[in-house]
Amino acid sequence: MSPTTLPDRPAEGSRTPEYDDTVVKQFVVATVFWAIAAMSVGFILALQLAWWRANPGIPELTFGRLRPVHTNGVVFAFTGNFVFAGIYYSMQRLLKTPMWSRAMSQFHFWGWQAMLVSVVITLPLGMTQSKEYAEMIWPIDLAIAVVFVTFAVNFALTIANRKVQHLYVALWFYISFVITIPVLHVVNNLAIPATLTRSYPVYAGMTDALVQWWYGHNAVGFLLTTPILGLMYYFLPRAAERPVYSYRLSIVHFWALVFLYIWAGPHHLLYSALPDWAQTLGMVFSVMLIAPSWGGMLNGLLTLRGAWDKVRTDPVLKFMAVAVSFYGMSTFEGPMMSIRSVSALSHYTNWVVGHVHSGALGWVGMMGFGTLYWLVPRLWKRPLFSTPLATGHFWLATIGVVLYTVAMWGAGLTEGLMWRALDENGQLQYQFIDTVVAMAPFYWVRLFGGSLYLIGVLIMAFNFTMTVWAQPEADLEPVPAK
Amino acid sequence: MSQEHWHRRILEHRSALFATLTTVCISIGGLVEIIPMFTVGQGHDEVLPEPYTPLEVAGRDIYVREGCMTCHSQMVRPFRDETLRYQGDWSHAVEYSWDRPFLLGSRRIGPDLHRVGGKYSDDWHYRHMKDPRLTDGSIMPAYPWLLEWKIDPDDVKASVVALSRVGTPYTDEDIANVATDLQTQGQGIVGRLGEKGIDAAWDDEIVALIAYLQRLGTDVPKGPVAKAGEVSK
Amino acid sequence: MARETNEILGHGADADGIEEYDNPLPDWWLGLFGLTIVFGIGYAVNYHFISHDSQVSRYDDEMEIAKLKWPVQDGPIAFVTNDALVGEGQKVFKDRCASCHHAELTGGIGPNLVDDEWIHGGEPDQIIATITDGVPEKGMPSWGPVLGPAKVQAVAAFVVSRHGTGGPSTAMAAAPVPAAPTPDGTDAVADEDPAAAGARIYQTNCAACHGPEMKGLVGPNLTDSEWIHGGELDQIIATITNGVPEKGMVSWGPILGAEQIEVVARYVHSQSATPQ
Ligand code: HEC
Ligand code: HEC
Ligand code: HEC
Ligand code: HEM
Ligand code: HEM
Ligand SMILES: [Ca+2]
Ligand SMILES: [Ca+2]
Ligand SMILES: [Cu+2]
Repeated sequence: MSPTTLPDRPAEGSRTPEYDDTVVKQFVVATVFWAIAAMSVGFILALQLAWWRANPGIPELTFGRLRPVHTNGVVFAFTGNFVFAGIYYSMQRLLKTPMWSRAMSQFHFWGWQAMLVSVVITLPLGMTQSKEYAEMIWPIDLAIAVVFVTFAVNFALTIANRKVQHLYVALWFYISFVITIPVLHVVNNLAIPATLTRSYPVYAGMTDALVQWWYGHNAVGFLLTTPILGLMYYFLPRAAERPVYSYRLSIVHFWALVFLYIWAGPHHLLYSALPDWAQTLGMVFSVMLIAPSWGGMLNGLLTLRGAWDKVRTDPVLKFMAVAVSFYGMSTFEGPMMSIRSVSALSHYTNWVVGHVHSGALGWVGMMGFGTLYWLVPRLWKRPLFSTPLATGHFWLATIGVVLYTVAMWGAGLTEGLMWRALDENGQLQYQFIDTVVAMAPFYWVRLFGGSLYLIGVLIMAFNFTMTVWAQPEADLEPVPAK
Repeated sequence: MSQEHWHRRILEHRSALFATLTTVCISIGGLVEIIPMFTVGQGHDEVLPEPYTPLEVAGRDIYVREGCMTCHSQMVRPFRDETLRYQGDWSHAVEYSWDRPFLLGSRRIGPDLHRVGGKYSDDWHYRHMKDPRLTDGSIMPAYPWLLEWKIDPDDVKASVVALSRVGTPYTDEDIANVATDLQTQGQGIVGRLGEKGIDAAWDDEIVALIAYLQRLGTDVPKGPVAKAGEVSK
Repeated sequence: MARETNEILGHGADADGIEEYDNPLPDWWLGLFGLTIVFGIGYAVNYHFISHDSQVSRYDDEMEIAKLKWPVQDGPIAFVTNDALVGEGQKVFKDRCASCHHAELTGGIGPNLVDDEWIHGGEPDQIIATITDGVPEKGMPSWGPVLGPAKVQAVAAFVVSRHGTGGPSTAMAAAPVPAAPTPDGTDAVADEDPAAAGARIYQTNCAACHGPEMKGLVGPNLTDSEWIHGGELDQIIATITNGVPEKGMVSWGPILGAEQIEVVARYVHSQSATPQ
């Protein structure tokens, strides 16, 4: 029986309190469903860029309306659900306290899924506010606020009534997530309704642009980074059964990240009509983010010292090790792209999409898969159906990400260089359409890489289904590491 | 073992203090960057453009509905290759004064559109939206339904009213005349399309979209400002 | 700084059993963090307070340098013609002009350039002026700044070299503007006898390449029973709509529209030897 197939044997004496694991199971199932849905839409988008006829001439399935379904799908549905699953599971055990209210947990779960369904319906119908990762129309914005605040209250009251005095680092990151997301959401979505499905933001022009990218970058910061760093600090040491590399580093890198990340928004608007001083702040704070981000990577990778033999056999650790490395890579690439002269070349190109997907598929996605592969056997008290299949998923995901990223680097550089190329008379060498045509081969390679990644997710879904249904429940209780 | 770390001693068991400190930390960056945008404003020394006409508002709503901003940016950067390619000055902050929501975009799958106003004739846009293969090799989807679907004057009025509430200086008269303004501006475009053998009606959605596209970037002196070697002011 | 101690802090009970080492911050990590902070402050102070840099001043410098490197010819571009220039000009025309003036210069969105009617004058220097400054309000872009003097000269040489060699105009403006729609809004084509309508559309648009009796010229014979793309009505409609760009058959979809294509397709279909 390989290490991850069977949960640990029960600890002597300690009676684990009755934790609310129902909501964790629900969020895990939702994660798998939405992962397939959201990434399938990503697949369609990739196909539509490589082969325009994949726009079937139906308004609802045209690229412009499907794109936000993919972006909001992978951020709020795929990432959102596995982040909530990981937080509910780990916070109760870290605090040795069940959730304050199971009713609020259920309201949060069903409310979140209902919101996601409403998004998948309204966006293709063209009901959008156009601001990226905030496209949902104003009634849905209200629903999100109510559902998230319910979770925040349940979260806060559970902490207030905790049995464990000191908060472990994972909880610091969860707290920053629970506080920052509502602030970003409310401020960026302030708008005056024109009809039930259309509204206009209270901000205009460049102010609207700055508020959006203060929100946009920090939605990436406080939804695709800090809560997942929190998950890393819980699930990676638990899976590796090794002490965390450095408590002191976690203190410095937490507070540095939380303070510095917020300033970086303007790196999405370099050389725009934003005042130069704002652009400079965005740039220099982004460069200062390298070390604090790498602090997270170090505390992840160096915790694996002494467990590298386990990494060879355990897919959970394989996923987490590669995820943390991609986190280090994209948090170096991002700051580089925040430098004015680099942004002059990379902005608007496929290079940005490459940076996105190395962070998203590499760090976010694979950290999510690692967490799920660790959770499912313990939640359903059954060994994982097939470890080789999980390892297969790992290789498909890793190759998929590399192909996707390299294709987009090639595409982005080609675009950037062709847009600025001059002939011997100082005139533009290429028309815009020349760059569009030049993208085709890169779009096909990206499509192939993305489909490997998607196939990996389908294999994971099959593996989990067989784990839960095809095997009797083992009688072993999950237990904290020694 | 070393003496307990101050962070653990002072902070880690005081969750309320911890949450407050986090809230302070995440607020500083936002306040420092966003508040001045309200006071400094957006280079208001330059002439404020006229607000969008009702037909242009309708066209902009269609632009947002179809997600054109997912492939098109509206921001000519201060680079010579961009002012050459887009045949106009780099984009000034004041041009976006009435842009709610802003449509700068973050991808150029298609060309930047902030200087497209007046670049093509109305019938070029009509044919291009019907089938973008008018440009050989284009991967832009076709939008034939824009030639069939109609704008609803009452719906456009709701937009103009909401925009005036949120700060765009529409007068009561502007709001009252929405329906007639739509028709007069629409007929102008219908006339030009007719000259090229295209049969359109003033309330076709394509007409509103053309009105918006033709307005883009015409609020700052356009034209061969960026001719090679000429310094823009 | 102190070396790694790998000393366990012993707070596992507060962290569901997870232990933490009390290792110090790695020196290189602290150095990197310090370096980025120093860079950040240095860059910002220099940009805003020392060199008083700005993106607009950078742009103006760029334009000044370009002005010296590629001096702008003031005054109109001289007309020159030779085989090399005409060849160069043909390539530019294919890239930039064919989409509106048709591959054979017989017109589309833009007017016919090979007949004797000129809106802005047919003399070489008038043609160069029209190409350089364009007619923006009518939809003809100003190509001077985009193409630059050399390419304007080349394409003008090409246009002049093709003058008087082409067939009847395929320009839209020249196409008979359909009579004002009859009161009930149906298009005039509908009332006109279908065969006559088909013939009219054929003569104005297709005869140039398929011959007045559809016996074929540049385009194939449409009255025999061989079909490259199929002789069924729907196949003919498809071929006319999508065209065969690489073979020279124009894609008429965006130009004629579905209705007129169906009329001319029925006409072509009815004239073919054995309408399958
Ligand atoms: C999937 C990507 C995509 C979407 C969505 C899209 N476009 Fe395009 N667009 C392109 C590409 C590629 C081109 C360049 C080739 C061409 O001219 O068709 C282009 C060209 C254009 C041009 C000509 C610009 C120039 O300077 O030549 C206009 C105008 C335009 N699009 C308007 C729109 C509008 C309006 C919408 C939404 C209703 C839209 N586009 C949606 C990809 C897109
Ligand atoms: C987007 C459409 C478009 C493109 C591309 C275009 N043209 Fe034109 N062109 C027009 C239109 C429309 C007119 C008619 C202007 C008028 O009615 O006054 C025109 C007029 C002209 C004329 C004047 C004809 C006359 O009767 O006086 C010349 C010469 C010409 N174009 C050459 C070119 C060349 C050379 C190119 C490519 C470098 C080009 N055009 C590209 C649309 C276009
Ligand atoms: C610029 C020249 C040109 C013009 C104008 C033109 N054609 Fe063609 N057409 C061709 C060529 C060349 C082919 C052969 C394509 C091939 O080899 O596949 C062709 C093929 C066709 C075919 C398919 C014949 C077969 O054997 O399958 C049809 C039908 C047709 N044309 C009809 C039309 C109609 C109707 C029009 C006017 C609306 C038209 N063409 C205008 C050049 C032209
Ligand atoms: C399963 C494979 C996937 C494929 C094939 C895919 C494909 C795509 C495509 C084609 C785009 C549009 C790019 C463009 O506009 O040029 C896109 C955008 C995006 N994707 Fe994915 N995607 C995948 C998975 C993911 C995952 C797992 C995430 C996040 C967890 C993600 C996050 C995003 C984001 C945030 C954007 C917007 C980027 C931007 O606006 O620049 N994608 N994706
Ligand atoms: C220190 C860390 C980071 C910095 C400084 C940074 C910086 C940047 C920059 C400069 C861009 C390009 C903006 C443009 O030119 O349009 C960008 C885009 C983006 N980044 Fe990062 N990045 C960082 C980490 C991450 C991580 C870990 C993710 C996780 C997924 C991520 C997700 C994204 C997304 C989704 C976009 C696309 C935004 C859009 O829709 O246009 N970033 N980032
Ligand atoms: Ca919203
Ligand atoms: Ca984007
Ligand atoms: Cu960012």
